Amino acid sequence: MTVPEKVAEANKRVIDIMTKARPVWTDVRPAIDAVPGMERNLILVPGPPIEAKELPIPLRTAVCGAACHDGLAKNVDEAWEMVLRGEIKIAPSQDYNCGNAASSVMSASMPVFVVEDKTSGGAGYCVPHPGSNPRVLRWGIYGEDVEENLRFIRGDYAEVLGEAVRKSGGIDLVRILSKTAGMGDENHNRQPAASMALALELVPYLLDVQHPARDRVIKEICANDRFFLHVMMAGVEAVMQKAKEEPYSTIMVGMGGNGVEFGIQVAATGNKWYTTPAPKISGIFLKPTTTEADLLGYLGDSCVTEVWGLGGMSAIAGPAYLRMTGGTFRDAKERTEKARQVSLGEHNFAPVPWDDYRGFPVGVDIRKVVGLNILPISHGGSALKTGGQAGAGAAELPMEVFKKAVEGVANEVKRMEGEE
Amino acid sequence: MSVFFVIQKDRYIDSLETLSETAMLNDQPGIGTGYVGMATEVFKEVTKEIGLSAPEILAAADSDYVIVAEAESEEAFNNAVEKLRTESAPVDDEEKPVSFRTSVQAKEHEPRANLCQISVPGEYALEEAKKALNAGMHICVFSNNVPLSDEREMKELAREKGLLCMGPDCGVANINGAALVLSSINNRGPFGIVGASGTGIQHVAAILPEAGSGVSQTIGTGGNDLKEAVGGITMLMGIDALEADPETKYIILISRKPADSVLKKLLARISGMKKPRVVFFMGCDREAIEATGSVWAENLDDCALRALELIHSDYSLGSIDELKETAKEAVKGMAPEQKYLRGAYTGGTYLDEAMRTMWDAAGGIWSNAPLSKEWKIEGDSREHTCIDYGEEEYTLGRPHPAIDASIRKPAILKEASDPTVAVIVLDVILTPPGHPDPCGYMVPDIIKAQKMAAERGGKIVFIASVLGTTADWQDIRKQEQELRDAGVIVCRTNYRAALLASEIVKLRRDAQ
Amino acid sequence: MTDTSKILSLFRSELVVVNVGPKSFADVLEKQGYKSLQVDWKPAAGGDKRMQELLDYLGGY
Repeated sequence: MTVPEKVAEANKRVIDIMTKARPVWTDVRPAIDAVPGMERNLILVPGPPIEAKELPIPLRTAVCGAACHDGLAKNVDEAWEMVLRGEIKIAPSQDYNCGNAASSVMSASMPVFVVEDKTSGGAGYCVPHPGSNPRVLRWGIYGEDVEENLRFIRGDYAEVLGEAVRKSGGIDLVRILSKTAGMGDENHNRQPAASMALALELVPYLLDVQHPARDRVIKEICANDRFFLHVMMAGVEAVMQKAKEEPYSTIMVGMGGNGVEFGIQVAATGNKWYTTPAPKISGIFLKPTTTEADLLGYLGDSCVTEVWGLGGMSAIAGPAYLRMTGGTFRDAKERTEKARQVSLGEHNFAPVPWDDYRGFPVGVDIRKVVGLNILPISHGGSALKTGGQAGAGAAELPMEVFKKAVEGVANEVKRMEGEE
Repeated sequence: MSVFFVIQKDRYIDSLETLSETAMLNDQPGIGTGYVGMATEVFKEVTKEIGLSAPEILAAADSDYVIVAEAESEEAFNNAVEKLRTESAPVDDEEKPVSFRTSVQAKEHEPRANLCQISVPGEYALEEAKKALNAGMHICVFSNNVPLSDEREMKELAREKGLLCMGPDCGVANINGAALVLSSINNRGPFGIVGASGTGIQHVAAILPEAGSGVSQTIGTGGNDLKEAVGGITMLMGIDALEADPETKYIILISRKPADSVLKKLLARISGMKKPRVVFFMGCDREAIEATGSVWAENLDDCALRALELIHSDYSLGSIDELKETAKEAVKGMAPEQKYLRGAYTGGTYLDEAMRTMWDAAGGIWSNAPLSKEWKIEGDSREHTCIDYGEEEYTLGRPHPAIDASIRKPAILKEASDPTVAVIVLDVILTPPGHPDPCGYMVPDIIKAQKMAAERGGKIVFIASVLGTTADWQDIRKQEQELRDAGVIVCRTNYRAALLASEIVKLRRDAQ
Repeated sequence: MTDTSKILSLFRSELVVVNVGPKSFADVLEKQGYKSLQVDWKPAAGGDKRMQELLDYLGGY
């Protein structure tokens, strides 16, 4: 077979993995038990690799907070010293089939959603979404109140939720997305319908759990319209695990930012990152006094949902998000069309009624991005440099990472072909 | 004034658009010199020349769009940029037409699409041609500077698929009545034309309606089709198609001299043709053509007249004696030192035809595209000179002078400022994408030039010919009249303009 | 001899032009009364020659 034929075949296999995936949420367990390769003194952070000293303030706060939460350090100052000395290690979440949204980090004791792709056999992990409270580790804020909430999540919350999920025999995320097709979610930055549908499946099992904190957990989950996001992130990571094992494939299988750098991963080169300075999210701010100068660059792994065709890629499915962030219905349509032009597959589980019942485009081919010079647009929340959420909007993915990826994949293919 | 600029990454805009934006930019208040374009090497060179360069511009890529200008203030510059943005921005209404990223997408959207017109930079032409051919469309490739090996490859693919590949460097094609690329709008009629010279095709096609006739189809092969490396693939396919086309009753073939091997193939092919045909292969042996049973033509005018004879028309372009009389009148009032001719051409074929016609009278003509290489000049005109403004040195990174009239504009005053110049010859080509009033556009400079000469105690004679039809939006009759009103002698054809110029040159030489 | 069936079919059909290049070429065809489809062409990989080579190697786009 020629190189182009091998690439085409590998891409077909990756598209099969992506479009035939059945990610099922099966469990909630501590990261140290669930995540292969997790270590006691390891803290997973969003985005591409970063030196500890380069961590932006919100991530630094989150890492130190998590270290205290896990008992690795007595206080945040001590934690920071340990991080700088390398006694507490940091690593990119996606290298471990995990995702950390915004400024979230994952430490060993934290409970994680376990999602398994029943088709490919991959598994992915993500910490729970902490709810609508603005003071959370997820936005780079740590304090006594935050610690208290983290303990609740690690304790009662994880116990109750884990038991309910296990009782359910697993919740099929594709079924949730199918049920909520046409309900206006784009499933990255807007997912009230999916969160409700998920709650609908979960609550009967929650009611069967015998636990003093049961009702509080039910209230927390039912009050959190973004609950589905972190389950879905684990689901996408489950799908991508096997996609990352396809040499020759030019399809994007990972992306994320750490506020300083933004990067993508491509199937052919697995966990290798192609990075560039993180672009900023343009859109709206929560506070009128916020300016673009206050913004940190692209932060978080929640955009792994985009890798699987959600968010900006299927913007047309959630036009209200564009309305909110300063765009129009046509912008939503154009975002999806852009994604279609650079994608190799289409999901058939959630046709969009107002888009001629077409499905979400999935499987961004880096060759198409570079060749056609079309930059897909990702949705995202924006973070303040000092911590806290700034706003929400969208960002064009930078061309630089795709060019580097083409270079990297071509080198890998040449190596495979024995040409180098 | 200081220099301000903005660079927009990866915003590809064709030079046609940036040209009009440059014009608009220069009209804005508070703006000195301004320039808009894609940051190509040419663009960077130009900005350096006109003192508008900056390291950021030099570092920009081919696909980056740059607006740079000398402005009184940053505010004036920003206002100007905003003006460009708002005035040239597409209207975002519900009727906004769909546009596509590739010809394949367009074909998928509209399966009836049957012809793809390609005008991308030459290095990309093959790729676009292959996409269109593989999608089942005939192609008309306007792109020039396409490597001959690329041309051969796309034409072989077209032949294999039974699709027509017009061009590369196809300036003229008229399919089903549509004027493609730089064609004039033609009458429909019984003549099918295949030609390797766009101007040549257009020339003949534009004379036919003067005698009430017209064309069925005109197929431009591009100027390199009859070279050895390409082998006449399109010409041969075009002949086959016109021979089979029931609407085509007569066939006209036009080219500069084909390569020997290609000529042999062509002569063999046309020997077997059934339809009456006129063949004008510049510089080819008359007997060889006539031996194929075809009508031989001496030049483009003759080609049109011979074609009209096939339908028993006695249309005439006028006699040589008329021109001699005109010349005698024209030279009256010239200063003693006026003896040279200058030609400023937008069409390469016309330049060639004119230089051949005037050569003997002038005793040699300098040119940037000379008939023989010892007559090559770069830069300023001297003695008898004819310049082709369609040559790369004037058009690299810019549209053809038939579209962008400003390319040739400086020639008029430049040539007229030389007191030894007696006559200036101009060609004008009408086409839908061209200047809406190309003759009117030149008139102020022509009048100024005549004044300059008068002030020196002399007289400059302007001779022009207009290629086009009354169906063209610019209307050939209106264009000719504008020139006549400015004192220009308008000849019916380029050849006759050159004959007239020759007569004037002879009279001036005899007067020395 | 060429199989002229596709060319003759072009001559007999309504002309529908896909225009890859300056939009003004499409505009003037519309103004003449012919249907056109505009392709917003950009150079592959933004004109980046190295990328074009690598993309070719990987099977195009």
